[in-house]
Amino acid sequence: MHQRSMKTTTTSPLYTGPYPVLHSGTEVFEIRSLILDNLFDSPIDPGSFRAFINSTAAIYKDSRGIFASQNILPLTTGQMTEGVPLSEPRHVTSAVPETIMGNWQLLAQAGLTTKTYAYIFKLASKNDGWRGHGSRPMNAQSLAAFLQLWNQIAEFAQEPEFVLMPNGNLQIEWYRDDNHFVELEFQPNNKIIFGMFDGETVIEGVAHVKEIVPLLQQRNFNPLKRPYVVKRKLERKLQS
Amino acid sequence: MAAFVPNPGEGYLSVNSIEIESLPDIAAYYGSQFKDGLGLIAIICRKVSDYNSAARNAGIKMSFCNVECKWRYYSSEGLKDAYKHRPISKSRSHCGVEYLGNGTDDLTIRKIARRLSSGDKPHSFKVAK
Repeated sequence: MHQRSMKTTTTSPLYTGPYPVLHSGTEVFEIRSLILDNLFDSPIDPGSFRAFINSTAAIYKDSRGIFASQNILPLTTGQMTEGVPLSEPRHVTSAVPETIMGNWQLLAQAGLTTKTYAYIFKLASKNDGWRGHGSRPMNAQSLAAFLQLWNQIAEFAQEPEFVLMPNGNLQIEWYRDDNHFVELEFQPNNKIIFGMFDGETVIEGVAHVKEIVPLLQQRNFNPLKRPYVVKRKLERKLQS
Repeated sequence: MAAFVPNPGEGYLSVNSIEIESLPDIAAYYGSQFKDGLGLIAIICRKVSDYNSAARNAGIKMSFCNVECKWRYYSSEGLKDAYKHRPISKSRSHCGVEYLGNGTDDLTIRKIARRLSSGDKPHSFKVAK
């Protein structure tokens, strides 16, 4: 299956619009191939996944987002070997989780590591009842709320760990030890249930997404300090 | 932390008593339920005193009934059993932590869950059919 779609030939150009990046059908099929071969088969190949994310991001950049909903997102197994004109809308099946499709653009811009992208995909692929009766799949708005926050803090934050809550909310965690950790659960209404433990004090509650960054910055255990952590590590390396 | 948060709509947090069944048996049950009988199962063990302590920390009042030898908690509807034995056909050790259910708000549940998730690391079991 790996190269099947790559070998597909089409008799007519896939796209005839003004955006040169999509003139070649091969590029588009390549993206599909990566998605289907690597995102949903286990284990996920990180290299190909990164290539896929890069390709998607490049297309977004070049096409100014116009293809996001019409041509790139609806990817299905059935269309793998077909030359479908890109201008035609396609029916969506279960290949890409809806949660991911709904947040495609934000995900492409997020700049998360390959491992994290793969893990989010894995969590988003969980179905109703994944943890017993009543447990829900990942909520798209919860993921969107995280990505909105992440886009504000990505430059200076350490990458968190991700947990899917039984109610479908996405939770992120920064953990040093049992006394130093931060947990943020993103609710669909842009509110965050947070717990911040910094060794000396504990604060827990609910806050709006906009209020979280100042709260985190006031704590002794502040995960939004990546440049300093990296700088210190580099200094130690140089000294040794 | 998510391990101590009940599923939506559940009236209690599902747990298992290791006084009734052994850890490997409990692992085998969960393996058959969620892993098609194969794979790794992580089990976190906590004492009733840990649950009580976490609940008190989150503002739930607990009391011990000496007559019935049961822990109870104060809910909006009065005193209720804090822990119940709820055996099911495939798992006779199945129990419920009653105050981690429908009547308790999300914030309180998470406060309790955070405290329960710190401490001893999970036991890991490899289950096979």
